[in-house]
Amino acid sequence: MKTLWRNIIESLGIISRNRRAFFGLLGVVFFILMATAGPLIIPLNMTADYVDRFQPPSLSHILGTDYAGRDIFQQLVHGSTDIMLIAFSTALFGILLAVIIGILAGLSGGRVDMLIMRVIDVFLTVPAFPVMAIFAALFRIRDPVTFGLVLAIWSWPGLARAIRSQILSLRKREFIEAAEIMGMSTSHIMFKELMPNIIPYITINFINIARGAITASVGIMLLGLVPLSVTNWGMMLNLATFQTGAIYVPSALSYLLSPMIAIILFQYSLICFGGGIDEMFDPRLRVQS
Amino acid sequence: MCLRKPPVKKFTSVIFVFQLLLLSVLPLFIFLLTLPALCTGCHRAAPEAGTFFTAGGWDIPPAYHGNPWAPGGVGVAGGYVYEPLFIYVPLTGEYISRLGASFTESPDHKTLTVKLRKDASWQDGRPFTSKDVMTTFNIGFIASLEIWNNLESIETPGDYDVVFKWKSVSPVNTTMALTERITSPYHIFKKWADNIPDIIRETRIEKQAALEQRGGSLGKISPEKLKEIKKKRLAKEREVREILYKYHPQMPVGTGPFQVTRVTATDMTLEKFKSYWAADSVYIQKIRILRWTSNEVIWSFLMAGEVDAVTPATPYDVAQQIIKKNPGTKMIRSSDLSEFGYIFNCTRPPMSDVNFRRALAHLLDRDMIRKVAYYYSEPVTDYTTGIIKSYRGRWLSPAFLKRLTRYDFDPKKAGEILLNAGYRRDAKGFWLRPDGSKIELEIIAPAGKTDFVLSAEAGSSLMSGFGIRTQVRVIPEELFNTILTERKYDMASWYGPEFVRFAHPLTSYQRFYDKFGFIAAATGFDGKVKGPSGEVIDSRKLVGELGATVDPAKQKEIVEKLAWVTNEYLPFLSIFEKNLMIFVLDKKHVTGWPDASDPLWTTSPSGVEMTYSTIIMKGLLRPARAEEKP
Repeated sequence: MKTLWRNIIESLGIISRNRRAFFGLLGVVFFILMATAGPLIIPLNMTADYVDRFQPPSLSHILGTDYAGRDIFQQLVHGSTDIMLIAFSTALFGILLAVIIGILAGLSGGRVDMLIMRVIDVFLTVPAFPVMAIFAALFRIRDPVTFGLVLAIWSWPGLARAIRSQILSLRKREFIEAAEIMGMSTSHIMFKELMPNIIPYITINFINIARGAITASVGIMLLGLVPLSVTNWGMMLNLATFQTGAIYVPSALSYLLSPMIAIILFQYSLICFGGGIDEMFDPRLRVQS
Repeated sequence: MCLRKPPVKKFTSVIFVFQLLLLSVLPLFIFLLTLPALCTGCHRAAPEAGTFFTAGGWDIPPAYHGNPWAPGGVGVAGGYVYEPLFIYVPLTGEYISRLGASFTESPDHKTLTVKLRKDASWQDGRPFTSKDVMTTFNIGFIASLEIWNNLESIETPGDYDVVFKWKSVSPVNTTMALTERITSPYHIFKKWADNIPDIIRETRIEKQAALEQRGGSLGKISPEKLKEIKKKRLAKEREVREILYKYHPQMPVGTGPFQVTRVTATDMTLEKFKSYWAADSVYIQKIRILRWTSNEVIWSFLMAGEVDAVTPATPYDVAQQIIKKNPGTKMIRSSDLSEFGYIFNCTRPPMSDVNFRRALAHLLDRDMIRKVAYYYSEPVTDYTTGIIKSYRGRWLSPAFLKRLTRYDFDPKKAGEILLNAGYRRDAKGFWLRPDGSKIELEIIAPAGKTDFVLSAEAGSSLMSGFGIRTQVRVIPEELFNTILTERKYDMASWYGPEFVRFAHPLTSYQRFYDKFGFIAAATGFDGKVKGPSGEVIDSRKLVGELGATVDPAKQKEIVEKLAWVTNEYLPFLSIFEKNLMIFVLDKKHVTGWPDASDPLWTTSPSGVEMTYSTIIMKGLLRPARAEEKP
């Protein structure tokens, strides 16, 4: 337990020494708090009040109101729960699949590798959109975690292929050969020797997949695979730009910009934080900075 | 030991500050990126004199083929290139002459005789005759034109005389015949049209034999022979259809005031047909049609003053911005002859319970939904009769309406209805079914149709706020109809009553109660119910009777019964009567638009292009500047 705490404090220390990474950490913590504690503190009132539509920011509506006169800030806060769950679960499932399949292909070689590579080729070549349309006709998804799982189905193949290449290259290195000669188990080689070397790669892809999931979620909603949620930031942006004409109404500027800025800040925080994690695992980067 | 900071750190800080700066200006930058959309078309060259600008849709070349019968048709050009015999004005009941000069109906309504104008010609120079009318309707037989349900035959006793003979009378026969666009000159379509009378004859024999067999008698034809006849007829029909679809003239040939001269992926150009029968009163020399991709692009065109007339569904604030930016823009609202609302799946609980549907009718603030979804429409907040609100006065008397249940916005009453029907709330305030199970509903709406999606969303918020858990699911347009007719939904945001084309309740009630009616299929409600005095009302039978009588008193009597069933059993809940929002820009390129109250605008639900074309044909629309006049 002591070691764990020491590791956490040490990691935080590394991150806090890098301003960019620290900013990222604060951002991620802020958004996680917004998604978890926010809905408990700020109630959501989705009753339309047409007279109050497209109000600019004021004391009663700090980010203004949407096309039906509903508070934008409340929507952002409540939408953040789904956004975080979708983004993180997609990234988590996607990374898990990619790491397991990529390492398995890279380490096994031979027929297993060939078979996995063909499966990856199929996933990479089949366009996601028509398949999602078929899914939409067959299934009903109601929770964001399952939604994340569906999105993850198309997010792992590219990364798995890249991880396999990394593994193939690392396998020839002396430290892996040494581990093999010393009779270390496959799981030891996989998780203790190989994994730290591909962590930076995984981190960056985690962020990319999470970012992609936010934008992809709008498309999936419009396909009918999941229920439409007007508090989803991507959908808020879609409604403002394409459906309600907010883009043409000067007083609706905050409705257009609020979800946009929230998405940018969230993604930027992830990128900065990802940089910090990268540094945490790679002592060479720490020395440089 | 004092160490100097390594320069690389300073560099990292600079990058960080730069990134923060970038981050703060990024939203502004992205917003600025959208500005060009507002100025769409600013680069265009000055328009040629006498050009009318509008927007519409068509298949992008090389898919564009110019054949009115093949899939995709001729696109938006149809309204300018082709003409019907007459234009029907729903508001006044008047018929405006186009290719027809006059018409008479026999006293028994079994024959319609039309005299054609003698000065019309096709755009390839050949004269227009009665054979062309017959060719169009004959080809329409294999294209399943609705008129053939009632039409016995078309005869052409003279070059300029057409006689329609009806199998059965109907209140919409005349309008159906007179308003069909004449698209098929005999000299071009004869190779297909000449085979069709045989197909029509064979179909008749087949249907007669099938009827006799269904009635229990073997008749003259054995079942095996009948099968063989059907097989042969279908093969012949398929052959004609396949060859017809392969005909790609590139540019359509019509008799209308304009002919297509250029079609690209972004715009279509039509030029005045010099030999048009009313060429002297056509002052517009050219029409340029910009391709309609989505509403927001059309809003940009309107803001930039690029189009003279166009009909996008537009939110209130956007419409105000358009009018503010172009003070010459007028917005004309004309009924789309349809009502918009929620279709209920009457086969799936709790929607199958009429009390639940009635509770929803009281619970939903329909005027608020209208404002959010389609501000410029007419609210329907009282009854749902299947008769569009603007036509109620013609069909339903105030005394009759008083006998109907009125569904005013009253959430308290909605709660009472639910409690009386055995529904109850759980500890969290959510409604439970009488058997204690949770109520979880979905409202579906077609993707890309903003008004339907917003309406579904507003309704779902109200229902969820009341304790009925409701979500919205957007369905791709291609799947929407299938999901409805297969009844894989609870509620759907879609059209209900439709009076389009004939402005008669028959089309609306056919949708609701006919065997093949769309709403009948979607709701699973056949309308066979107990009437106000306990008698059995068979709505399907009544619709059949309505379609077979021209007696106004009898029609009214049937309509009242159907209106009662629709309102009391609520397979559909009307929210508003949809209006077309016709934006017209005066005095920029063209001038002379009719006043908003002009009955001509009421022709627009059948195709606003035909309305523009009639306005041009009548000589009302002229180039804006004197030097642009021909």
